[in-house]
Amino acid sequence: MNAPKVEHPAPTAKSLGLEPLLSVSGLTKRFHPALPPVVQEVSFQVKQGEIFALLGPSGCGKTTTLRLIAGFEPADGGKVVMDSKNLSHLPAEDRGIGFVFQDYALFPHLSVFGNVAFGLRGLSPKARRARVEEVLSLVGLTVFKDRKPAELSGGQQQRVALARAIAPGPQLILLDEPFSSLDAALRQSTRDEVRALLKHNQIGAVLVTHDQEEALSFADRLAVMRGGRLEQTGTPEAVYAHPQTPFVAQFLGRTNLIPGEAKGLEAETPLGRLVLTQAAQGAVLLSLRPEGLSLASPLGQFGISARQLEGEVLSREFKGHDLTYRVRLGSRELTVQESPESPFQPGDKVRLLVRAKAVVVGGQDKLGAGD
Amino acid sequence: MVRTAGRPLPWHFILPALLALAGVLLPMVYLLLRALQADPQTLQEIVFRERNLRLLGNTLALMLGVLLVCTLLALPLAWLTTRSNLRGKRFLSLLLTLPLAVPGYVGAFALLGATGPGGLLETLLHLNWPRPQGYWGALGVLTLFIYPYLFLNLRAALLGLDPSLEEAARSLGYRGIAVVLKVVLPQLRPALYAGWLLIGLHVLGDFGVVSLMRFETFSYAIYIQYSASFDRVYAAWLSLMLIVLTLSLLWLEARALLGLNLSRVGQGSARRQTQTPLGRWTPLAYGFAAIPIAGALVIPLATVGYWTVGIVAQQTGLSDLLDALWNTLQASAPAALVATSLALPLAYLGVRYPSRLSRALERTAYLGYAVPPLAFALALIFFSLRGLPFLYQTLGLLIMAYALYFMAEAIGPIRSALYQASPRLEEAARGLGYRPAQAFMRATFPLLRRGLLSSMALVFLSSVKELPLTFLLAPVGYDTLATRIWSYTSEAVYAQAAPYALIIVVFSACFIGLLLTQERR
Repeated sequence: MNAPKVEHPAPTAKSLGLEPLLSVSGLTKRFHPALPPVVQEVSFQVKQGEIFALLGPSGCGKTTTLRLIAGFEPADGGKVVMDSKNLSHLPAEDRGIGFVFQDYALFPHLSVFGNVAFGLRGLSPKARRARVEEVLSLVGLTVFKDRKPAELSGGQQQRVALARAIAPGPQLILLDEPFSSLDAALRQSTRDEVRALLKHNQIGAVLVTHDQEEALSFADRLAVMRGGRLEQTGTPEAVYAHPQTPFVAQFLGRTNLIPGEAKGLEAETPLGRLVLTQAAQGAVLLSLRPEGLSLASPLGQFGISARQLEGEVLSREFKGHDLTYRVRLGSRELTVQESPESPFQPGDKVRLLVRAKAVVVGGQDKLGAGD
Repeated sequence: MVRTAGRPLPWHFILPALLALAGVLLPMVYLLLRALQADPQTLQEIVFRERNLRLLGNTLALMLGVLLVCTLLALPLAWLTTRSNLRGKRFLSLLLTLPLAVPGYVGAFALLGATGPGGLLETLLHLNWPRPQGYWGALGVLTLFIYPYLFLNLRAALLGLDPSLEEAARSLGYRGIAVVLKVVLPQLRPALYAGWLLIGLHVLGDFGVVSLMRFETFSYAIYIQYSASFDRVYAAWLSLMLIVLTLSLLWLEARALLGLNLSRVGQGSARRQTQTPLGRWTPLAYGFAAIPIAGALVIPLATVGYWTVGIVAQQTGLSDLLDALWNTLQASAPAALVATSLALPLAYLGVRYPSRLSRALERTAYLGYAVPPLAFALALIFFSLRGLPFLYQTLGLLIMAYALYFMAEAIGPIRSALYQASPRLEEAARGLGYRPAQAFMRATFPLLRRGLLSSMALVFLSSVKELPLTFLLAPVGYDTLATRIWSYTSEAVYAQAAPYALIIVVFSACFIGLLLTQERR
C-alpha cells in the first residue's frame, strides 16, 4: 500500500497546520422537541492530515455528529467550518467530504470500478480511468476492478468503500465504525493499512468508534463522547494519563476509582496516602490505573509485622503479554495489572503496592457518576 | 440511525406527487357535489334505506372471504415457487401469474359456460359441476382471478429476503416452520399488506363478477343505478359509502405499516437463497398448484378456445379484431408509463420521508383506485366537460383515466423495491458530489428497475382488461378488446367474444413472461 501518492493542493498557510482543516463549534441536534438533544454543543478541531477519533458508547450521538458534519442531517445549531469555509448550510454534495459507511453502502449494481469512479465527474474518461486505477492500486484491489460488490469479502468491500471515498481527493474523510464488521485479525491489519494510507496522503479523518483500543491506536487525537457531549478531548496519551471525569477514566481503558480527602499534592484514601498528579483540596474521586498497582507476598510471610495493604486474590486472567488480577481489599475490589510471570492464584493473600500517582477525576459529589 | 425529523422534503418529488393528488381528488370533489345535490328529505330517505345495510353486509362478507382464501392460496404458492426444490418453478410461477391476464368478467363467462347442464365439462367429461352463483360463486371466481396480485407481491418479497436472517434463526435453534413463522413471515409484512390492499380494493370495486353471479354488493348496486334508473344522486351516495369502507381499509394498512423499515441491516450485499427439499410432499405441492391453474386457466381457456375454433372456422371479423387490438395498445401502453411515473414519487416519499404528508399523498392514490370505476369515469366526464372540454371524448382522457386510476397498482412493487434499497446509497452519492435528484437517479433508480417493470406490467394489464372506464370514456366508435367482449356478451353471443378474450389472455401472458425474466436478472 505504498503506491502512488494522492494528489492534493499545494501547501498553503492552512494546510501547513496554521489553521485547522475542520472546525466544529457548538454543534447541536435534536430529533424530537420533547427529548433532550442527541448532540449537544459539540466543538472540536481537526488539523490538516490529522486523524481524530470520536469515542463513546452506542447511542452517545457520535454517529449523528458525523452525519451532521457530512451534511446528511441538518443541524439545529452550531457551525461546521472547513478550510475557513462555512459549510453549515451547504448540502452534502457541496461539502467535498468523503464518507465511509459502517455497512459500506456500495452500489450493488456497479462494479468495483464503477463504484470508485462514481464520484469522479467532470474528468475525461481517460483521466477517470487513470484515477480509478491509481486509487485501486492504493488499496491493493486493482485485480478486482470488474467484480460486483457481492463477490468481494468483507475486508475487500471495506477497501472499495475507502477507495470510493478518497477517489475525488477530499482533504477530509469521515469514517463511521469502518472496522466494526471485520473479524479481529483482519481488523488490526486493515486499520494499520488505512492509517498508513491516510497519513501518506495527508488526508484528515474523523473516525467514530466505540472501541477504545481502536481509538487509542488509530487516532492522533480523540474525544470521549457521552450523552451527546464531549467529555474530554486530547491526545490518546494525555486523555489516558489524565482523565478528567470518572466516565472518561473508565471508558478509556480500565481503572480503579477511589474516594479520598485531598490536601495539596497528597490525598488520604482507603489505600493509604497517595501522591496526586496535581494539587487538590477536599473530598475527591481518584483514578488509579491497574498498571499503577502491583502485588507482592504479604510481609507476614517474612516474619515482619508492619502496616501494609493486605488483600486477597479473587480472580486471575492470563492474557499472554500481561496478567490481570481482581483483588479484594477490605470491602473494595481492585483491578491490578502484573507482568505475566506473577505467581499468585485466587485465594492467595497478597500485599498491594501503589506505584503511580493518582489522578483526580472529580469531587466527592461526582461519586458514582461514572457507571 | 437514520431519522427523518427536520429533513426537508425534496421538491422534485413533491411536485409530481401533488400533481397526481390533484388528478385523483378533482373527480372526488365532483362526487361529493353530486351527492349533496338533493333536498334534505330525499337525502334522508336515501341514506337510511334498509337496503344499504344489506349491501354493506354482503360487501364485507365477500371481501373478507376473498382475502382469506387468496392468502391461503398465494402464500404457500409463493413459497413453493421461490424456496422449494420443485422443478420448473419459473414455469409454474408463469402459470400461476397468468390468471391476472383473464379479466374477471371473461373468467366468469367462461366458467358459467363450462359448468352446469349443457356446459363444456358435461359435454366433454360428463362432469356435472354446478354453475357458480351467489356468494360462493362470487368468492370463488374473484379469488381465482385476483389472487396473483398477492402471489406476485409475496414472490418478489421472498426473492429479496436476506437468507442470512433465516440462517441466523436456524443457528438460534429454530427449525422448519418456526423459521418461516418467526423470521420469514414478519419480513413479508409489507408485501402482504400491499397485496391485501390491492385485493380488498379490487373486491370493493368489482362489478363484472358480482353482477354475473347476481350477488348484490355496493358496486353492483351503483351499476344498476347508473344503467337502469340513472339516479346519479343515489349512485353518488352508494359510492360515498363504498369510499368510507375503502378509507377504513386504508387506515388499517397505514397503521400496520407504521414504523416498518426492512432494509437490510449489516455488511455487504445479500447472497443467494437456499432451497428446501420437499421430499415426499412433492406430489401434494404440485396438486395444490394445480387447483388455481385448472380453475383459472385450463377450464376457462378450454371453453374460450372451444368457442374460438368455432368462430375462426367461419373466418369473419378479422379486421375488426386488429382494430380493437391496436386501439387497446394505444391506450394501455402510455397509461402504464404515466401511471408508473406518477407512482414513483409517491412511493419514494412514503418510504424515505415517512410523515403525515407523504402518507396522505400515498393514501390518496389508493383512494382514487378505490372509487368504483363507474363513478370515477362519470366524474371524469363531468370534470372534463366543465374544466377541460377539449379533452372530452379523446384518447387523452382515457389514458389519463387509466393512469390516475391504476397508479395505486404501481406503488406496491416500487415500494417493496425501495424498502430493500438502503438509504445510505443515496447519501454515499451525495457525499461524492451529486445533487439529490442526480443521486436518486444514479444510486437508487437502477435498483428499482425490477419494481418499475412490475409496476408497468401491472398497470398495462389492468388497462387492457379494464371495462367500465373504457366503456364510458373511450371516444365514440373507439372499440377496444374489452368493449368488444362486453358488447358481444351483453348480446348473449358469448362465442363471438371468445377470440377477443383469447387475444387479451395471450398478450398478457407474454407480458408476464417478460416480467419473470426480468426478475431473474
